Amino acid sequence: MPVAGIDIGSLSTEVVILKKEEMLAQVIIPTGANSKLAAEKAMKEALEKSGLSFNELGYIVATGYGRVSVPFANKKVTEISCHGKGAFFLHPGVRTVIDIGGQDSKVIRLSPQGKVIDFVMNEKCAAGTGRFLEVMAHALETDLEEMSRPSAPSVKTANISSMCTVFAESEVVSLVAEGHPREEIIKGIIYSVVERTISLARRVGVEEELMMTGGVAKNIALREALEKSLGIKITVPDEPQAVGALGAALLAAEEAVK
Amino acid sequence: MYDFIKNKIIRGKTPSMFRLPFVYSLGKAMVRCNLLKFSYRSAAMTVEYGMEQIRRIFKGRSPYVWVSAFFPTEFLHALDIVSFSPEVISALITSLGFQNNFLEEAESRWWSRDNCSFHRCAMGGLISNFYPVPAAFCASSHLCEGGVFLFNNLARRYHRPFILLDTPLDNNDNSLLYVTRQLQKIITLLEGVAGTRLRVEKLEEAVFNTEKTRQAMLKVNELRRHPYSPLRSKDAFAYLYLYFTGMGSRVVPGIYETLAAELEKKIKESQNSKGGETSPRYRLLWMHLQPFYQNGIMDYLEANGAELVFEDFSHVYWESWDPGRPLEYIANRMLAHFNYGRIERRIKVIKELARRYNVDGVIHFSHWGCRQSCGSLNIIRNSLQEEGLPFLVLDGDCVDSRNFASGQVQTRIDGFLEMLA
Ligand SMILES: Nc1ncnc2c1ncn2[C@@H]1O[C@H](COP(=O)(O)OP(=O)(O)OP(=O)(O)O)[C@@H](O)[C@H]1O
Ligand code: SF4
Ligand SMILES: [Mg+2]
Repeated sequence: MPVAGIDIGSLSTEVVILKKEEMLAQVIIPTGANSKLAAEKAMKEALEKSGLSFNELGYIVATGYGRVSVPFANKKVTEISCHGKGAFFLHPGVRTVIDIGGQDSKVIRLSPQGKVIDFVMNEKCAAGTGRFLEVMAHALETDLEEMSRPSAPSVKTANISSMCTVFAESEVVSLVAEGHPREEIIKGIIYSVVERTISLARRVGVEEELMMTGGVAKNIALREALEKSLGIKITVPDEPQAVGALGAALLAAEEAVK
Repeated sequence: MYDFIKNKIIRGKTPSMFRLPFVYSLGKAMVRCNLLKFSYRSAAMTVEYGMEQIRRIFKGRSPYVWVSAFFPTEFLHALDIVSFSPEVISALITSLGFQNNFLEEAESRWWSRDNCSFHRCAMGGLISNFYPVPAAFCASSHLCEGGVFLFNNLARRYHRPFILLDTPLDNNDNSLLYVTRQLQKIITLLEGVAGTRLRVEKLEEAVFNTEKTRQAMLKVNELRRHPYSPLRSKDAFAYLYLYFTGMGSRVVPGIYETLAAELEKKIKESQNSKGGETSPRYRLLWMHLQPFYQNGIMDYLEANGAELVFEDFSHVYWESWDPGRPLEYIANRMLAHFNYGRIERRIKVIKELARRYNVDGVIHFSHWGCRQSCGSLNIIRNSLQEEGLPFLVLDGDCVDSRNFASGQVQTRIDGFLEMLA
C-alpha cells in the first residue's frame, strides 16, 4: 500500500510518496504564508505525479513546524525523528545528521540502529540558518547560486561579527560601501554560519559518518567550509531538502503495517 | 485555580487592588469557606499562610524584610519579622498576569533584560511603589548571585540595611564556624530591625519547626515514590512559598504533614479502586523552576503520557542536626545545598533522585539569566547519559513571556518524547 510523508518547513514544503521503499513521487514547493494551503498543494502535485488518488494512500505522516496544520495526516512526528530516519535509510552508516533549514538548525545523533539518541536545536533566532543566508544575499543584491559558489583558498574572509540577522545585514551593507570585494564578504557570511553550526554540533558531539540535510546542504561553499573546519567528510544525499519528508514516509510505512 | 482568580476576580482590575490588606482577609475567608477550590487541603493552607504574610506586609504594622532564596528565615520567625520572598511573589504576580507592568518599570530604569526576570519583576514592583519599602534586605550568597546584587542595589537606593550571609563553597568544619559567627552578627542586625532582643527559646522553637518541616517533607517525598502517587511537579510548585519563607514557622510543619496524610489517603484510594491512576508511560524528573504564565508545557507532557513525578527543588538536602544547637543547625543547612559548591554534589543528588523516583528522563528548564542553574549543564548531561538517561534542556523564561517561543519548545518536547519511545 502506498504511503506519504509531508514536511511543512518554514520556507519549503515537501511530499514523498513511497511504495515498498520505492519512491513514486517527490515534490518540493515554497511554503508561503499559508502552510495548510501549501500542504494541500504539494500533496495534490505528488498524487498527480504518482498517478494515485488520495484514497489509495494507506498512511500519512506529517512533520516540520507546520505539521500541526495538516488536517489529512494520520500522525505528526518532529523533524528530528524524520531527518534521522531519512538519513539513516539513505546511509545506514550515518551517526550524525546536521539539518539546516530556513529558520532552524538541528544536530541529531543516531545509534548504530538508527535510533535518535540526542539532539540540539539553535536558540530562538534565525542566525546561522537558511533565512540568514537569504537576507545576506539580498543585502548583496545577489542570489543563492552565487552564495553557494566555493571561492579560491586565496580569497580573504571578511569579518561579520554580529550574530543578529538585522545587524549583520547592515554590517554587510557597510562592508560593501567600504569597497570590500564581494567574494570576501560572502566568504565571511558563510564562515559565520559555519561557526554557529560547529558550536551547536560540538554540544552533542560529532561522530562519523556525518550527513547534511535540509536546503542549506545544497550550498556547496558552506558544505566545503564546514568539512574543512570539522576535518570530516560530509555526505550529502541527492535531494537533501526532501530527507525529512522521506523519513516521514518511512515512518508512515511502518505505521501502515501495524 | 489561578484561572478562577484571574477570570472572576482580577479581570479589569489594576494591581493596586492587591495593595489593600482586606483583599487578603477576604481571600483567606474564601479559602476557609471552600469558595476557592484546591485539589489538596494542604495547598489551601499554603495559600492561606501566604495571604496572611502578604496581608501583614500591606497592613504595615509589623516589620518586614526581603529575603533572597535560602536566607535563613528561622531568625525572622523567632523575632516575628515578616519575610517576603520577592522571587516567589514574582512567580505569583506572573501567574496573575501582572508581570509586564513591573518588568517594564525596571527596564525603563536601566535594569538589563539579561538579568533574571524574577528579580526584574520584583524590582519593578518596589520602584513603582507597589510593595512597601522593607525594613532591610537580607541575602545569602549561596546559589543566587543575582539576588545579592539586586538587594545591595535596593538597600542603597532606599537607605536600608543590607544584611549579607556569605556562604562558603566548601562544606567543612571551618565553613561551619565561619557561617555560625556570621549568624551571630546577623541576629544583632535583625534585632535592630525588630526592635527587640531574640529570645533563645524562640530561636530553638523556630529551628525545631524547621526540623519538623524537614521530617514531614521527607515523608511526602517518600510517598511520592509510590507508582500511584498523584502529586506532580506542577502541584508541588504551589508549596514554593513555604520552601523559601516558611523555615522556622510554626504553621508550616502542619501543612507538610497534612500533605503527607492526603497523599497517603489518595494512594490508598487509587490502590483500592481498580481503575485507579495507572502508572504513566514515562516518568520524568524536572530541574529548576517552571514558567508561571500560561504555557501548557506540563499539561502537554501529561497529555502525551509523560508525568513529572519529582522536581529537584523538593529534595530535602540537609541532614538532621541537634535543634538544641540552633546556630549550628542553620549553618549546616546553609552549607548543605546540593546546587552549591562542587558540581559532583549536584550530579550525585540528581542521579540519586533519578534512581529513587525511577525516572526515564530528565528535563532542565533553563531560565534566562540564571547562572547558577544553567551553568555546568554539559557536565550534568554527560553524566546522566552515562546512566542511559535522556536529558532535555528547555530554554525559556519563568516570568518574562517575551523570552518564550512556544513552537520551538514544542518541537523540543516532541523530539524528546519520540526519543524516549
Ligand atoms: N539551490 C540552493 N542552493 C543553496 N541554498 C539553497 C538552495 N535551495 C535552498 N537553499 C537554502 O535552504 C534554505 C531552506 O531550507 P529548507 O527548505 O530545508 O527549510 P525548511 O525546512 O522550510 O525550514 P525549517 O526546517 O527551518 O522550518 C533556504 O533558506 C536556502 O538558504
Ligand atoms: S532563577 Fe536563578 S537568578 Fe533568578 S532568582 Fe532564582 S536562582 Fe536567582
Ligand atoms: Mg526543515
